[in-house]
Amino acid sequence: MLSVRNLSKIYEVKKSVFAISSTKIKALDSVSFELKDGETLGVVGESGSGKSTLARCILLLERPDSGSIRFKGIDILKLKGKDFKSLRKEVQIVFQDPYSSLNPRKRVIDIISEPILNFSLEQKERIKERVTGILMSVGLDVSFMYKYPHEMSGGQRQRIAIARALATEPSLLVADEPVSSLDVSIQAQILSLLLEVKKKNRLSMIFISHDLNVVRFVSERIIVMFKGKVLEEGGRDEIFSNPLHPYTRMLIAYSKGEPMPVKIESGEGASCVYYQKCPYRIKRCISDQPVLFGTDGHKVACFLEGGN
Amino acid sequence: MKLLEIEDLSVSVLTEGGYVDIISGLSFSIRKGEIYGLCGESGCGKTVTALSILRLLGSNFHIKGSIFFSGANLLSIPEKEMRQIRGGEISIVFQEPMTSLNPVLKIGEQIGEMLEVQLKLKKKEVKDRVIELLKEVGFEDPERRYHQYPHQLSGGQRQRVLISMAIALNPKLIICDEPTTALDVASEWEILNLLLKLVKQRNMAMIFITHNLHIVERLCTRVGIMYLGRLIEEQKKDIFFERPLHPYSQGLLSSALIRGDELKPIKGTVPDLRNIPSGCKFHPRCDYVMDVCIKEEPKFVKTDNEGYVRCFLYGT
Repeated sequence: MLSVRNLSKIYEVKKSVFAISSTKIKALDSVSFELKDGETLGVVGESGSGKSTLARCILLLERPDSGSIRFKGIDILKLKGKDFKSLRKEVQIVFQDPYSSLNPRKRVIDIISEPILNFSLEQKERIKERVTGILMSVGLDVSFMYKYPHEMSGGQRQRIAIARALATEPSLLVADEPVSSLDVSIQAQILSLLLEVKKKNRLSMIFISHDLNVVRFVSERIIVMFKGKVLEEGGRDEIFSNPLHPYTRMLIAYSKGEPMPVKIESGEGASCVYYQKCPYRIKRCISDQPVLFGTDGHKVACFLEGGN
Repeated sequence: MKLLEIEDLSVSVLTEGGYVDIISGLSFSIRKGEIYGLCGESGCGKTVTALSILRLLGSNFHIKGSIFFSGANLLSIPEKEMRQIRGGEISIVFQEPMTSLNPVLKIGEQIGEMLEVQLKLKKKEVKDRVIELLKEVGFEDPERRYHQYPHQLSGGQRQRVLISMAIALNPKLIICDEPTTALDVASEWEILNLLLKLVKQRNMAMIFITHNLHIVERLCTRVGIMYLGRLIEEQKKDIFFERPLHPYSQGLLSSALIRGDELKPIKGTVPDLRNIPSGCKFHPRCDYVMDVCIKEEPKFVKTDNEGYVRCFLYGT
């Protein structure tokens, strides 16, 4: 379905408005993964790990600096004009904040029908029926059709955002922290809705979250990101029963409530991005950068596991 | 021994459309040395509860009931006495560490200000005390930190500065209002460990306000669950996580994926405070709703194991 190879994205950030020199921040650093048809890939990471940049690159909302993204065998970075537009029909996204991702001046019917009309997927006369059907599939009734976003709660807005994403009948859905701005009880509703529509529409999904519990619940495979790098990748059960990277181990221990030493020291960076926080660091981590290695079922980037 | 006792607290706020009730008939107490987790979704009144205890609500809020602390009713003592209690006896750590610190003052000065005003210490004594406090909250280089500004610190470090201010005057009770929500996992862990250590060492009691049940499970000794301004269940921690009684509590635990791997969401949404339901406030979302739930509001009744629950499923 989707194959991402060595994707990198570097942002230049000035230290102040007047600064002449700028620092380069690697938002994505040689990220590679595969997504199979019908699979859900969970992307775990904290703020600054590059997970949202990854989402934006897959949607081509952001151009990566290097690397390739192949969607159904086509290199999407080379797409132009019409073909580029048709990619939008196939790949859709649900953003984190349903307050800023919906146009406040548009009614629900306009929000959902826009992508449908844009791709001429339905005649204008029949658009109402189509939107009704989509609304039903996300658990809302017809009465929402003429509401504005401000008339709805966060959970309802997120349902509209999902409805809009489903409107073009995509085959890949990218969900970027879709529940983290919602209350616990609403989170659960939206999660079960996502799982339901995924099954019904036979979607593949990339599910991005900082919450390990949530990712564990929805994903079949997981990649763990930290400062733009993939530190570990594997099947969900494999990752949870046998986490290899110190960072993954820390996240899992934390989610289980186990005590575990966390070392946080300031100081200059080393080659390994996790060096500063790693309780098991060795000398080699300063000079060399560990690369992702292992089997298809489980990969890790750490010298302690025998990496190079 | 009861340190803080809240009895029948009701808070309403004056809005354009008249008074809106935020808290209704809230009663609970905090014993010495305990960590009480006050938990609920946004809008349930947990922060307003904290602000009522410290009398930090604006004049547009109307407060009824009583809050007893060491024998005195905090709601009726003069402002002058209340100032001694704020920080001195009861202190608070807020959620957003950046907005709680003054960006143009050095860390050391901000911590020291309170010592100077409340304890009337001399400059040199103040500095020594501040350095000691910075050490106690886990800074390895307190001398350097003393002269730094808030923007030079990370979120977790700023939160540690706030904690050092909260413990500076040796309070008996510390209220933490979602102190780790803005932090990453590793820093959150550090802060929680630090709070646990301080509460034990200094023999304080703590009210920990959060929407995160995972933290409650890790940290607290007792749990109170709020819904629409009311406590709907209160239990010892272990009992709560083993067998939550109220359907809302059960739904929360399942929604947070704490019990088992089955996701059973609570239906519907939290109603608007201006338009709260009749009878039991949870009845429109409850799977076990009965006729009586629509007409009457259940009382907060005692259960076995010294807990309380507000639900007709467990008697009236």
